[in-house]
Amino acid sequence: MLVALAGQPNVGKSTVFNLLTGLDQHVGNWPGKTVERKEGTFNFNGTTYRLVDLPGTYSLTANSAEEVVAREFIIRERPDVVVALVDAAILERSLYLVAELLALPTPVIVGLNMIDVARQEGVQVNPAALEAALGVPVVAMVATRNEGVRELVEKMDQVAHGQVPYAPRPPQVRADHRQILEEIEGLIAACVAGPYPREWVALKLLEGDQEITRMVEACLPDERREALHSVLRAHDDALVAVAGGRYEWIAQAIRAAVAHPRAGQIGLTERLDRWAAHPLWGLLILAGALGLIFWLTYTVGTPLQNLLDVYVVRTLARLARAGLSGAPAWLAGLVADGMIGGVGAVLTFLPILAIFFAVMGLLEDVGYMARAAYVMDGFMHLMGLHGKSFLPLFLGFGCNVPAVLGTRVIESRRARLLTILLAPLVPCTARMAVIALLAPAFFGSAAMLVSWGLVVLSLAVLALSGVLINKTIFRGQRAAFIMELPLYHLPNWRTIGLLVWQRSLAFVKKAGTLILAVSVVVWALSVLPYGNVDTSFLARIGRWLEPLGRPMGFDWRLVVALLTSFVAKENSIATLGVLLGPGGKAGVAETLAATFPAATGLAFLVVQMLFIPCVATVAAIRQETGSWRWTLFSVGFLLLVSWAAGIGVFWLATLVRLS
Amino acid sequence: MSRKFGRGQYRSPELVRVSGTSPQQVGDSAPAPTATSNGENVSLSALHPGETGVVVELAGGRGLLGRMTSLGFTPGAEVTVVQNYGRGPLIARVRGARIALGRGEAGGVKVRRRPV
Repeated sequence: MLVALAGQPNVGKSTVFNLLTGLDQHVGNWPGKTVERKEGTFNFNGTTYRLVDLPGTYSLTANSAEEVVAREFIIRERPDVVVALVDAAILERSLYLVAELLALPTPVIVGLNMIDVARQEGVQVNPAALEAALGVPVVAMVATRNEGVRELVEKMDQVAHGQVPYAPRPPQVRADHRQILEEIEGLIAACVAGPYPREWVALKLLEGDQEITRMVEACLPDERREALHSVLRAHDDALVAVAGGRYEWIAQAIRAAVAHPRAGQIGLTERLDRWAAHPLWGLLILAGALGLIFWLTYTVGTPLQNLLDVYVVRTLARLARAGLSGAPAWLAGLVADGMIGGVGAVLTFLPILAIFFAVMGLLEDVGYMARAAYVMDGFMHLMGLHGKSFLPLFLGFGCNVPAVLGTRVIESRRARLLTILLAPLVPCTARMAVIALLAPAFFGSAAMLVSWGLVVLSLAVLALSGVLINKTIFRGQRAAFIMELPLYHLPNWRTIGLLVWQRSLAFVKKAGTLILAVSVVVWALSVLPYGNVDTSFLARIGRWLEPLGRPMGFDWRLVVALLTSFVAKENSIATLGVLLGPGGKAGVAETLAATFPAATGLAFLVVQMLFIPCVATVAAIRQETGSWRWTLFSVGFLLLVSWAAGIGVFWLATLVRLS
Repeated sequence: MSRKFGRGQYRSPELVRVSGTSPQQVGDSAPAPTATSNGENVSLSALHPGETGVVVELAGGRGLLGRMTSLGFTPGAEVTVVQNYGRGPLIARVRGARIALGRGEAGGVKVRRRPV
């Protein structure tokens, strides 16, 4: 039996999904979409149920990929039951999705969740009255305390087996719409076949649903398409009327079911928001939260990362070398340097990644994420971004990977894409580590100032790129800022824990192979054909690319260092250590400063800051954009920007005779 | 005046006009709140915190309208402004939910201010 779990965002869908399926769940993407697909199984009364968690959507009209995914699943896969969760505290709005679901042929049962929160907010809902009004089973529940979930499953089981009469009372099409709908149905009759109910398609056309319009237009003969167009054009305001009709239906359904015994009281959320959403206090609270994230990263994440590197990665490499001592040297090198180096890069990312997923999950779960987006919206607008772009970008200071993965919270595809393109310009800890090592050698006591200047430069380039890309590629369109501020509630640790586990696993699985492959290729280029870097293919490539670096005073060694930083940013130090000769990693900075003028040093740091991100970030960009075209665009764009900025800074530095 | 009563077969009296203009053009800056006259039509961004209005008109592109209606904004809906500092986004309560809107988006929501 197949069951779909539907509901608007923040109604507790994940909690119910996790309760029912436990650890027996599979997380992936919907085919061709960067929308998360969660599926799991559970048994009840001798029946095995396959439960699919549909993306949280406010409606079933195509505003984003989520709505398309949700309704395509219901229409095409025909689940035996759709379990629709609603938030009892926001019943009127929550039922909007139910109004849309009831227009589809699949049986629906309603889980009336969060009745405890509703009571606190002064709303009392009578499930029996609601059941009578909707004509579908309604089960009251508090998913966070596991109350009512068993009853929900029992009802679901009964409906799936047809053991209870099921007589829904879906919203009726308004009398004044009926005639127009019939006209549309007549026009599209030949076209709409298979699983799509004709009346539903007609209604979606009337609502101006882009996806359905495209689908129908693709198969209509020209003259019918024209006729359809003229009907739709004459009623282009129907979208609002249809939505209004659904709310009228809801108002009637809840009239008998909802009482407001304590109307007009000020809830906890309202009181908290006086601070959290305040233009000044809100920013201070946000700054505090961000400080906490940084503190966590540096006191837990970075040490863990080092421990993993020292005890796991290097031990593995040593073991591999020992185990392969009889084998040819190239094999030992391939395994110890190429492969384990790549695995290590993935592995040492995990602590920081997990921390960021946990923090994102926590802020989202308690409802704070929306407030952070709200207070930052004005600022982000300047770059054509959405308030929701702020947190993912901020996460980039720790590591660009979670920044890119975190952009999933942004609904608008355009704003999400722009955020992904800008994320690599946020200086991550690994880049800062390189700067921290090299800047003192070139600039002595002014190193702090230079480092600070480099961060400011990066952010200035980010802002400028944002404005530029938005104006040109996206033609100044702006993502509409309209979003719900959910009620605050206590975090559900189980939900957050599972989220961290699944996201980390997905990253290792998807990005891991690409990182490993690139690591092996770069290693191979650096030793072939004669076994040392100086004469390697990589060095040849470096020499070949040297003319590009010459305007900044670079020679091929600096170019090669940048190339190897593609595997991991810290690699440029190790590479320079090898190329600049003895002195090892410790003496690298001094040797470098003695070899190159300060202007070249500064230009190198600038390029290092703005250069293409590490392969892990590129893998994340590929995963989240779902497109090699945008991934390549991102890489090309950053190459150009870093090169131009490097030259610009070199000239400026030479001009003011920095030496 | 954009209100059209009973024109065509199916326009409901309270449903006024849904124009295709983008919200930025409609009201990026808040009209200065005038002295409260009963039942005047203003954009949502002109309401002070605590004030309530009834939606009479929505303006915006299809995508935005779809989002607005699914979040509860339809003609006839009661909207109470919770937070509005005169600039930047604002918070409104509609159909029991708290919705944050950019100033431009709020400018596209015309309401009949309810006298206090």
